[in-house]
Amino acid sequence: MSEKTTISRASAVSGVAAALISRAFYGLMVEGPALDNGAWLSILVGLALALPTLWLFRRGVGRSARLLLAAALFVDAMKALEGAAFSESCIAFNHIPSAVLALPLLAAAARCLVLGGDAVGASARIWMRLFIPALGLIVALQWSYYRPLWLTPVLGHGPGGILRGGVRCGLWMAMLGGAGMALCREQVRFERVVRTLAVAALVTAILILLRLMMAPACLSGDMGRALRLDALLTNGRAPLLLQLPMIVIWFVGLTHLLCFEIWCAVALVRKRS
Amino acid sequence: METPHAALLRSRLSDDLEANVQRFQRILNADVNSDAHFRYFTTGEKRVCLIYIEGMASDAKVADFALRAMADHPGAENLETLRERVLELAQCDMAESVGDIARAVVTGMTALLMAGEARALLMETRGYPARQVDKPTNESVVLGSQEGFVESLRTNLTLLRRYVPSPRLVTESLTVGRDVPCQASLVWLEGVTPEGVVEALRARLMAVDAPAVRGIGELQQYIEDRPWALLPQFLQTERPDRAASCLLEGQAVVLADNSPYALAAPVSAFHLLHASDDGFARWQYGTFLRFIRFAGTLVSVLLPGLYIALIEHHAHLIPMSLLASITEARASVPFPVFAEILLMEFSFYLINEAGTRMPRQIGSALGIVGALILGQAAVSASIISPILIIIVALTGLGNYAVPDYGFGLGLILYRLGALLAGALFGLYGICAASFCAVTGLCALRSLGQPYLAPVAPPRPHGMDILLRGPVWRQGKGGRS
Repeated sequence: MSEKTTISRASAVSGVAAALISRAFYGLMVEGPALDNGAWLSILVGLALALPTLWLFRRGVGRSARLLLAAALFVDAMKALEGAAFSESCIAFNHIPSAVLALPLLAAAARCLVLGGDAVGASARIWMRLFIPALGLIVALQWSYYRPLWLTPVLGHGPGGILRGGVRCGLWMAMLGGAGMALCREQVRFERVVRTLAVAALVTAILILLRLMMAPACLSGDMGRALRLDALLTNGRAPLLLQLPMIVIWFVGLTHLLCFEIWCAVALVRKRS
Repeated sequence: METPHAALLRSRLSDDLEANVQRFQRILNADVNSDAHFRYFTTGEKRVCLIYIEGMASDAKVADFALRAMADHPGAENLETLRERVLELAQCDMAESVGDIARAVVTGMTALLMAGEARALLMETRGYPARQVDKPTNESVVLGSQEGFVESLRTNLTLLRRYVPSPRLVTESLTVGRDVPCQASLVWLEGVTPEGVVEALRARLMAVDAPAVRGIGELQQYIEDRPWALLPQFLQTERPDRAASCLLEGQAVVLADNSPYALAAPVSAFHLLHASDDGFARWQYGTFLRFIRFAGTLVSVLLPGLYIALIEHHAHLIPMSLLASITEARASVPFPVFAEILLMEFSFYLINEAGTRMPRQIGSALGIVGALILGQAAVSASIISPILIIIVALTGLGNYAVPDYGFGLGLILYRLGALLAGALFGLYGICAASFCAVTGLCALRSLGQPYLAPVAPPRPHGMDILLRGPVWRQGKGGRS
């Protein structure tokens, strides 16, 4: 198999996990519609909803399914690209068109197409190793600002909202997990796929809980994407300097997501069997 | 276009002594080269001619071990008798090819031609001046050996044999360079170095198709996996203890004549950030030093870009007191931050380059000029801000903390990329640039091995990547 259209198992695990954490967190906490306190439950619901689809993928993915998956990944990648450009516009460059702000990530994605999936997955692995200490630093610095009481009401906007969020999460998991399984060079056991997605879901849930403890939920209306991003980066009480590691985590995570999805989409189209 | 005397070099000796001598006189331009000598001698009934290059061959060896030996034992009828019973030299080989003989003569060996013989004896009489083993100039350590490689390949191989006194140490001789051959050696430890590594490196060395290879640095560029990459894929060291350590860890080493460096591969980025005395200090201090070095590397690459990103695009992230101080310091600076940084970087590397090339007698003056006049004067004239001097100084220190010179040079270019990304797109640009850089490193290979192994892809490894674990837990040494 060509190395340009396949990925090793280790790289697939890292790439899928990093991409899913970024996608789910961005989708549930910033992109909207707002789920607030129920978001962390949505990710768990999404895992349960994705498993049957992934069960079907374990026997192989036909050409039509690959093309459909590729299209879905490409559309989602464009959403991630738009989200990254929007984030940058909010943070610093509100006077520059989004198309210009998207150029660095497009360049990164193009480079990933040349370098191959193994490089993208290996990069994700390194990122995961750096992400945990960075997150630990953030938690340690912001520890005094967390309010566990703000996790209530636990169901947020209610079971309907949780289920809607769960469906979206399930789609992302099925998409990324299915792509990883279809493009993996080695045989992947279903249990390994489930474990990878479960760990990624758990990490995302923890991130969501941390974010929810930073600011009270706004259940009476929709804050809008810009305010949700602002609430993510700062809680209005912690020093602004603490935004620095969070901005880095945010952008690197979105970059990984975009590049992994674009590589998977192109590889699925190019793959012959 | 063929090189001069190509046909002669491809020919073989005849049994006519004069015809053979004339061939070599033409090849060595004896009518012009005053150092090419043709010494005729008669031993018994046989006429012989010694061919050597003055200065490359030792006159004493030629006189004592060849001429005197033949004078003391006349009557040798053929070259075999001379070699077996007369000549008192440790190495004495037969050769028939004119090209091989000519190449041996210009490296300091002496050729002995005999009338009626279509062969020649090549005698080891090398005696050219060579630098003595001295302290390494570019890889200083506090603890550990104070010997460095020299320009003589034979001496370097001897140094390696001293550090790895094992019968399993193999030194395979090779020649690289089509027209002007350069002697090289491929060294490995049998049973430790994987055979695939040895074969791959040997194949690359044999495939070098250059007219001449001027040194180990040039050779490295011919045999690297990706010569276009910014970072080296071979470790270049002037320390025999470091090269020996590489051999013991399963890497192969390449040495070349006239180069006081050795190449080792396969390597990872982590190898290039390790220093040879990491293993000599206690493991706690070794680990601490590695953290300092890794942090210095990150500072070297990212600090200027982060500075410009924060100042230009994310000033709200800087604490107010620091921001006020920076703003006050920059109030009278007429240049934008980006221009200021570029100016300082250019000045720093100009001083660096001048310090390297400047004659030693006036080199000390450069420190005074660089530090006092350029730095202090520039601040006094409000051309640059004081904080930028600190930024550039820290960046330079971080760069010089990298043990591998080639790796440090590559980091400079990464730094410029991060600087540009930070200037254009702030933290977002730095994140994208860092992602591109790390992904590129993940795709890079050294002799087929991933450059960031064993971190990515994950592989079982001992405690010797970032943490320098206790040596008794690392399983070092020649494996059986």
